[in-house]
Amino acid sequence: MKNFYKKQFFIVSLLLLFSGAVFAQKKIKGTVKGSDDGLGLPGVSVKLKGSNKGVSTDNNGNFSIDVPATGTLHFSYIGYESKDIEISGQTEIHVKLKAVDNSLNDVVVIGYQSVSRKTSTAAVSTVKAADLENLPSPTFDKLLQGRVSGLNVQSFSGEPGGTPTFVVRGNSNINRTVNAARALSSPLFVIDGIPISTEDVSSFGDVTGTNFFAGLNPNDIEAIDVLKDAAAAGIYGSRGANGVVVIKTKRGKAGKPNINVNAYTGISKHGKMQEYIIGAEERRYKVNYLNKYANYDQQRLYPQILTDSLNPAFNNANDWQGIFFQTGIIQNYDLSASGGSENVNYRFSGNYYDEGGIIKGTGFKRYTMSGSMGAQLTPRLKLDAIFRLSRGDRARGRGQAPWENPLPISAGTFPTSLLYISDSDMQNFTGQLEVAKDKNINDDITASINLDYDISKKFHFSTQGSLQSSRGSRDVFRPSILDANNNFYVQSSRTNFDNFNIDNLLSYKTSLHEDHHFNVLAGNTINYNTKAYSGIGGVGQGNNVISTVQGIDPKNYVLNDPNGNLITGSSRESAGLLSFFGRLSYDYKEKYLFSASLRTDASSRFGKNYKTGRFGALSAGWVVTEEPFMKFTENWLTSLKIRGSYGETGNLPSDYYLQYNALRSQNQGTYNGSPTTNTYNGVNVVTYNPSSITQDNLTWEHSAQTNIGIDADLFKGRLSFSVDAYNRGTSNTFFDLILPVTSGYEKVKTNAVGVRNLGLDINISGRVFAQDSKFQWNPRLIMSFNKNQVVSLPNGNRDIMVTDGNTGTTFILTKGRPIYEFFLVKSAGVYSTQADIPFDPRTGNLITYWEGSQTAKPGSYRWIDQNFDYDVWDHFDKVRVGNPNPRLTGGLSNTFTFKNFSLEVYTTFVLGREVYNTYISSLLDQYKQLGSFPNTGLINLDKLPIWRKPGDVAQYADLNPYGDYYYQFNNFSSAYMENGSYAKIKYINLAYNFPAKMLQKFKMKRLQVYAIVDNVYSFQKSTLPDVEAVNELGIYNGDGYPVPRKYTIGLQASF
Amino acid sequence: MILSKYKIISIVLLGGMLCAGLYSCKKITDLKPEGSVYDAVYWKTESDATSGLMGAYSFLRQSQTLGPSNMSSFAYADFTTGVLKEGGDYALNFLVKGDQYYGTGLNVDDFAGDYLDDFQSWKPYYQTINMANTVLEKVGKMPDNVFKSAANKKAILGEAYFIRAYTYFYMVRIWGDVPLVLKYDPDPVSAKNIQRSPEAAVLDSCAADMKKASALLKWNTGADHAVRADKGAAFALLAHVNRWKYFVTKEQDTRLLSNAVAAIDSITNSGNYQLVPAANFDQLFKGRSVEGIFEINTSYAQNEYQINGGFYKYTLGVPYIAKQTKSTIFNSDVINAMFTDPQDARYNYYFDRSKSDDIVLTKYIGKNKQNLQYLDQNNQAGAVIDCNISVFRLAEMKLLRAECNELLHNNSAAAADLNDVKRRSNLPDFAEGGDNDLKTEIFEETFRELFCEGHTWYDMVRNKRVVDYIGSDRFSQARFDGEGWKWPINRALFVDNKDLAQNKYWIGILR
Repeated sequence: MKNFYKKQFFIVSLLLLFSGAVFAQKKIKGTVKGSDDGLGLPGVSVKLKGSNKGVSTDNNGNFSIDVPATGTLHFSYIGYESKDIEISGQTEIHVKLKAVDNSLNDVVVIGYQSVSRKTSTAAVSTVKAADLENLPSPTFDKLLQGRVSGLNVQSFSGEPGGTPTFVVRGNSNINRTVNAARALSSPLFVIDGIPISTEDVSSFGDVTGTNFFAGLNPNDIEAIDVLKDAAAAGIYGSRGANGVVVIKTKRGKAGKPNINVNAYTGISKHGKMQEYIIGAEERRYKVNYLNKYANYDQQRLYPQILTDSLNPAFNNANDWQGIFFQTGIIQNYDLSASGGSENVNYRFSGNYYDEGGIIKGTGFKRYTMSGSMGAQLTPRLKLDAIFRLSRGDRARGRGQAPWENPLPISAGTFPTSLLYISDSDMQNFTGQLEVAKDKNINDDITASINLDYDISKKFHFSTQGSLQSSRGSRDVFRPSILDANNNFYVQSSRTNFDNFNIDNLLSYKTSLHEDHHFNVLAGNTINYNTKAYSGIGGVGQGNNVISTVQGIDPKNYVLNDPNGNLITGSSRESAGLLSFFGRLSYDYKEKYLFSASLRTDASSRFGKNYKTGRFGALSAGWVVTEEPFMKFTENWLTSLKIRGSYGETGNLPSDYYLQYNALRSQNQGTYNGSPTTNTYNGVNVVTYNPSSITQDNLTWEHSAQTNIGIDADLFKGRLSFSVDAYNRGTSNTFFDLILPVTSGYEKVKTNAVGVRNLGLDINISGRVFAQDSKFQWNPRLIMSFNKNQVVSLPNGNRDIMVTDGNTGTTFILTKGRPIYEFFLVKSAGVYSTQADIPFDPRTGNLITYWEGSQTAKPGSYRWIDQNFDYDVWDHFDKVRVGNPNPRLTGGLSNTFTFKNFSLEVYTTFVLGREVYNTYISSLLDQYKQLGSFPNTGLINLDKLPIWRKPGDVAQYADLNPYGDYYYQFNNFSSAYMENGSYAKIKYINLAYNFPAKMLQKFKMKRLQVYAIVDNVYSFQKSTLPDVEAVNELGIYNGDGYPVPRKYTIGLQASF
Repeated sequence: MILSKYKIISIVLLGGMLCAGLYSCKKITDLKPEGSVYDAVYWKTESDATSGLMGAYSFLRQSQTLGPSNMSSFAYADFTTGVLKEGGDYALNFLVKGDQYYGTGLNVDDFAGDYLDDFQSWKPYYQTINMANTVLEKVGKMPDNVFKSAANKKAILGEAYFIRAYTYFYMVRIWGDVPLVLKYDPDPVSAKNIQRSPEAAVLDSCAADMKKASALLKWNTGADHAVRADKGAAFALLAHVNRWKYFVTKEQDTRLLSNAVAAIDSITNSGNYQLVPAANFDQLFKGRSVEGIFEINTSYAQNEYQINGGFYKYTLGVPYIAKQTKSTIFNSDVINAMFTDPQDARYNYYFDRSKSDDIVLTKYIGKNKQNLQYLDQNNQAGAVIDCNISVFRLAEMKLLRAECNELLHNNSAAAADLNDVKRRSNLPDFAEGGDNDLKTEIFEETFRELFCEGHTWYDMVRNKRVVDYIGSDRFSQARFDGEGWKWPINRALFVDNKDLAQNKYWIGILR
């Protein structure tokens, strides 16, 4: 941490020496070291008080200065407390500077500018390099979980290179159709000045499905600033509505070459697994189970798979989990070199990361190289260049077409262990089949050049041109032995995502009468991005050697995958954004702070009536502790700031050409049951698009946010907290409006919906012991409360029911209620005995289900009749039964250091949400049916709270395979709602720093060894193996990639 | 001095970057799609117009293949008529057996079973209508000189009228009153719900469209004969529209029947059509024969075949199609009752009678599998029955004319048409005093000739023979009289359209 400050705020001060002094001079030599790690501090300003004589320390912290025999030397260094030393005749002075832990001395990024945290009026959270270093994850986004108040990261999949959800201050996305992958809103990312919207990337051409940020080595990141309120994000205008995340990578610093080596390795293992009963035991269990329920005649009719134990097709004992899961190996190697002289600085780094997945055939490898260089071309002109290359290689397992799922069969309901698996299937299942391939490569190139020019002392101009280019390629070959129809499948796809960005910034900084500080920024940004796809895929026969697309009859080309994505064909789309923006900041004595920003955006994504949007923000702050009347608190209240902001931001649609009434010309001859074709009677077909209409009036999603915050620092940095309350109303949210059927159109995207997010972000950190104590304990608590609600819906705010096509679960959108509440038949346990079953007092009939077709019995679910017609399971009996949006998320980190040891225990938590277990419901549904019971993998039913006989107080209904079946286990009732709260010990990190003295012998600056256990333990009420592993809508189907537990050890050395 | 040189260089450099940026600004905010055409650049050339028209045909084809196994035109017209004993598919069995069979106790009858929603959706039909309306508007406004000949433009408009009218006619036969949209809507975003128009008015609009179409269209005897509407198709539809209107207007206005007869006269008088001899039945059912008047193109040669489901394939299994299990079972009693004469060419051509309780329909695949194709011949995989979906053909027209003439009491003319069709299948002429009167004989000959060709249900309804032939236990007279032969309006449509009215038979039956 302390080391970081040195890097971050290294300033070389050049002072001219005047030799007007005539009295005796004498040379004083010395060193300046940090009290934290005892290493020399480079660049510390050493000044003779009362003169303008001064020098700065060299790379090892040495200095020498000619001064009179008496006087005082003033040592100052950013991030450290200044110190005055009386010379009093000394010739050698050794100073130790104490690092300050006062967060108000930091700088924060507020969009195109950095300001000191003290004068900032914005709600910005910063995560620094040290917090992210060496944790076993290929992407930084997962590492931010629980670190930033107001940011909710959930890594529901443990797939190496997978993408977590990443929501700043509550979800504002709302859709008529539920597509879990894009259910939640995501912020704008700005990496080294290049803006990237993940929606743009994923909405198109994302053939490899790899996390877009996997190309960026987390160990190359210097700081991440999350811009939450309008004061910070407002300057990003049309793209800032869902927050902005600004990422800065590491740069070189002047000094002797510094070589850093970092390596860690470890294993990745499956966490808690479902226990399956397999082999002969499964057969016995199933037969015994059926015997309990079957009569004599029924017993004679048991299926062959249970009775024919000698048949090789049925006498196996496959442990499916054993077949699919493995222990993965993780390796990471970083090497970086940095350094520089007064005028030039550089940093080069290389990284190799290799994570083996816990599912066979999955994993992620990354190779990166990056370089940055800064050069002071003239005293006024500075050049800064970055170049970064990376390759990601993700193995995706052997799922079924389109092979996006890592498992070839649904893990939600494994088949019985008794089945025979052919050699080729087994090889394929385990990713061993050599002829099969699924190669997924991502290549990223980022290059940027930044020129800074000081026009005068007050005027400053800078321009940055950058290109970020991502290429994805996927090559699939599935040999014919894997196909029921004996066809091989081959596909080759290429995508490009190119992002060009030019920023021009002009800033002016001045002070009036010392106390009035003005800072004006004006700038413009031109952003242009293109995404392109080209690919070909097809099926054929015979060949199992050639694994590229060769010689396939064009009529056997596969034009689209089962999800409708283009396979054979090409496409190219581009979008442009032109923006002008400005900001004026003013403060009086760094006590009263004001800031205002304005941005105008013109986007190609809108129709002619609304190309241009304007977004403004206003903010103010008051540093209370600067007031004279606060003098009395000086001893305990180091600083206190109150700030507030209001502003507007926008959001762009992910579709580039929404405004065009695009006619459809691809595959429009296709009809139900036909192969894809583009003709009728051999003539090309063009049709209108039932879901696209010319939209000249489509406009920006508009978000207006108010934020009030307090930053306080107590007991000289021993305790600091920051609290922000916000109210963000998003209106004009894009939403599909359903059109009357007679129009011939299905839906149109309009600005039809409004959503509000209210919340509280809390950030508390402390240092329990005094700074010079050998034992240190630094706790930090992050909490984010969020409540979202729908504030307007189309069609007179009528409720809208949405169904998740994959799981069949229904959600409801209602004005005034949270987004996507579960809307199901309420189930309150199981009728234990006949006497428990209610009856209709008018007729005396027992309550019935499904319009009278089924009468409730002991062992039936107690479904609640909402409309008092004594019948349940129609549309009128569904109610809101749960909210998948978390009310509270956060993290608690505790770092303990004792001498050279440090231990970090990091916990994340989610409280107050409901999740839905479709895994158990589909298992029960399979077990309930005689047809599927024998063929379904068996878990121990004795352990489940199932109703078995009258008097049982059970959670799940009677599972008698011979009893009535009326879809009672389907996903329409709340019987499978579970408490989604959890607290997870995310990782424990134990590190040892070798003493500096010992290292000096080896010419090393630093040597640390560390061990990390990741995903340690989860505290939860739910019965799910891992309640974090639910999808964005709170559904667990057992089919996701389990989040593994990782054990790594590593070392970090600096020379 | 040096400093100022750097200054100049850098200012030029920075200024250059800025200017380059601003120069491209205009362009950057005005980007057009490259991968698709859009209204502003389309509808300029004849091929734009033709492709747009094909779009309407494509929607029409889509609307004929809805629901389970992708064969709604047969599901509506044949699965409801009692010719099947087993429908195979769960949902289709609601049409074959009625909902009672499943014992869900819904008791709402045959057209409202579970999973029949696909058959109740209006979406595909209004998409077809909207595309036809778009073609009429856009092509209508295109200057004549972009077409090779004025006739081409007229033909495109005429075909669009045909597609629109046929779709309305198709809907009227199923639902009765339907909303009538006859104009292209330039601003569908603000489209409002519209109410149902009386079925007679919808039929009038169809007739008016066909009058226009018959003037715009020419006789087509070329390669795309029958699969694109021509003058003959327009007359055929006009005849049907008149006949159906006669039925729904309580059989008051016999002029409608004369109109139908006159329209069919135009077809027969043209000399463009002939009955295909029984020996060439395979070619007749394959399509584009000299007998075909209008067909939906599903040609194998043009890669427009139906590979998944489809009535022709769905009703077959081994030994006709390798590795395929047949899921349907025909009702042998009905087949044996209707096809009584083994001399009838159709008696053997239409059926494989080797299993008396499981007669196989061989009408389309052909007695010698002439119309069977395998995508993968070696593995006998990917079976396709290469037959178009027949809509109108000459024999069908003759029988319709016979039906109308009989109603007009022109019995000799009626018998002449009837006998033409009978003779083709080697049957003796109709003789008075046999088992059947002329009316019944025409109906039964139609039943036979158009067996499983997407007509029978409508023939039964307009001749009021549903109760007789299906049985009053399955379909009561009261239900027929209460227009219970119409399908209910889909529940989902009421959600967004408060003023919509349900068909009267279904009010109170469906919640």
